[in-house]
Amino acid sequence: MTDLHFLTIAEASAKIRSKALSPVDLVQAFMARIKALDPKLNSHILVLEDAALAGGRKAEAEIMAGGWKGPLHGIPIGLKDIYNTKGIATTGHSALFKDHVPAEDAFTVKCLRDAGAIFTGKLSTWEFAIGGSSFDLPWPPARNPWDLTRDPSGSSSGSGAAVAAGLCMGAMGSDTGGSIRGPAAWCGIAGLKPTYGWLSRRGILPLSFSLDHAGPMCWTSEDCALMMNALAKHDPLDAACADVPAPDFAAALGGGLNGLRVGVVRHFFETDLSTDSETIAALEVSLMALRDMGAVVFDVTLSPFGVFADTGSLISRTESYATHQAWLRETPERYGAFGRQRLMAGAFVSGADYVNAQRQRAKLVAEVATAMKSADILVFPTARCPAREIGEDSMASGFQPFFNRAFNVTGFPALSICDGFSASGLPLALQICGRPFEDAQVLKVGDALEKTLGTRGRRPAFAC
Amino acid sequence: MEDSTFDARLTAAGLQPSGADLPALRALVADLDRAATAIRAPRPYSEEPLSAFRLPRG
Repeated sequence: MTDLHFLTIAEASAKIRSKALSPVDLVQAFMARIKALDPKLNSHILVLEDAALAGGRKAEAEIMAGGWKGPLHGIPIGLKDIYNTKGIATTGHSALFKDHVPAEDAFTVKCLRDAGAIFTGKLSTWEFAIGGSSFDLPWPPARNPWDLTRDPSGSSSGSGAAVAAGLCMGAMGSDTGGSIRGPAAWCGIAGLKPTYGWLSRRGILPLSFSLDHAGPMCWTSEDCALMMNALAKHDPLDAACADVPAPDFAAALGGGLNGLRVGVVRHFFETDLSTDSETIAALEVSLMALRDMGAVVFDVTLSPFGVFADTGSLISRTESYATHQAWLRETPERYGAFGRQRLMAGAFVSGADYVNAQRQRAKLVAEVATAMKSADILVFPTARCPAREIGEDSMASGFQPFFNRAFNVTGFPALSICDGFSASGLPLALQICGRPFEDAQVLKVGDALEKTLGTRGRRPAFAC
Repeated sequence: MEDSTFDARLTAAGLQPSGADLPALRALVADLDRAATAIRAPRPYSEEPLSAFRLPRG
């Protein structure tokens, strides 16, 4: 029998619904896990033990009285510590916001709460979702559970580490330049950056308004679908939040991939940026699996990856600076070095270059939309290599480990799934991208591949 | 030349990073300058980003 902490949301939910599993027992199991493992993993900034246990008791009473709310009822969920939580500190992993206690929940937190989810903790992040794995902040950086000397990536570092190690069943992340998909890849889990505007960002500490996405991070694509069912609600108070009808993301899973048109953006990883051989080999195995399921696989050409990266970085840095400008001028010493340096850099982008980048972005959106007239999904590796040593800072060294930026710039949905392991036992990852508001299709492909490739049966040795 | 441009832009922004920040900040700014140069081009109206003036119909 699978340990409680390694059940998927789908599995636990079925047991809870049938009253075979008590939410109280589930929460207690996760609290014990956090106490045992997190002193080494550092995935949590704050553990919400009392509130979670109270939530477990409440969920149990509701379910026993016939009031089961749905698949997230009684499920332990962690929140990246940029999601506002009413009456509970939301720090952004920064000394600057160490004492910031919001008066309201973020919209997505409320959605999860309404669905019956139980919040187990506030999770580590790169400072304000930009800083990097830093050692000069009030809390240490999260570690990678597959190898504690390795970086989990970020900025949703605690979310990736905690889900992979079985310290929560699902977590919320945010993705401005790849911050859901990067840690999903290096921690070996599923992470969805939904279509821009599908999930509200209200009540999330902002970074870059036109690139920020909220999204779920779970052990499986199926669990991400279950979370999307609770999260995809229109919020009129986030100007970017689209008022579109949401499908049943979980019901869309299964049913086969016969005839699916799969475009491989091969030049990203073969000519634009060098990529390690194990990552490419895992991708080829995934492509073979897709062909075996009846998909038609062919190569697709987009602009060089560098054009997406340059466009995204100019927009991201400028908008991030606009968010933090006053604090950077008045109290720069309250940031960690990585966060301060990265945020200050945005001051150097001219207005003309920011506008030019937004124009380039419009061109890239049109280009990807054209490519996706002949392809239902696009695929390429999420990362160029498995997890690097922690402290081997990628941005300061100029090394860009990920192929994520392209789908922040365009806003199209993108999912990272684990598609294999390196010889040294580190997760490898595939990125699956779809058309706007076709997130269900992306999750369907991710779910089919996970089930075919058989990668979901392996957890980090540290967590077993 | 690059230093004076960097310093002038830093002063104009009203920022006072510590001396220890400067090497990394210079590298980040150099990368942004390269990125801006790489994608600078004349753009037609068809490449305008979201338009604040695309008004909804009444």
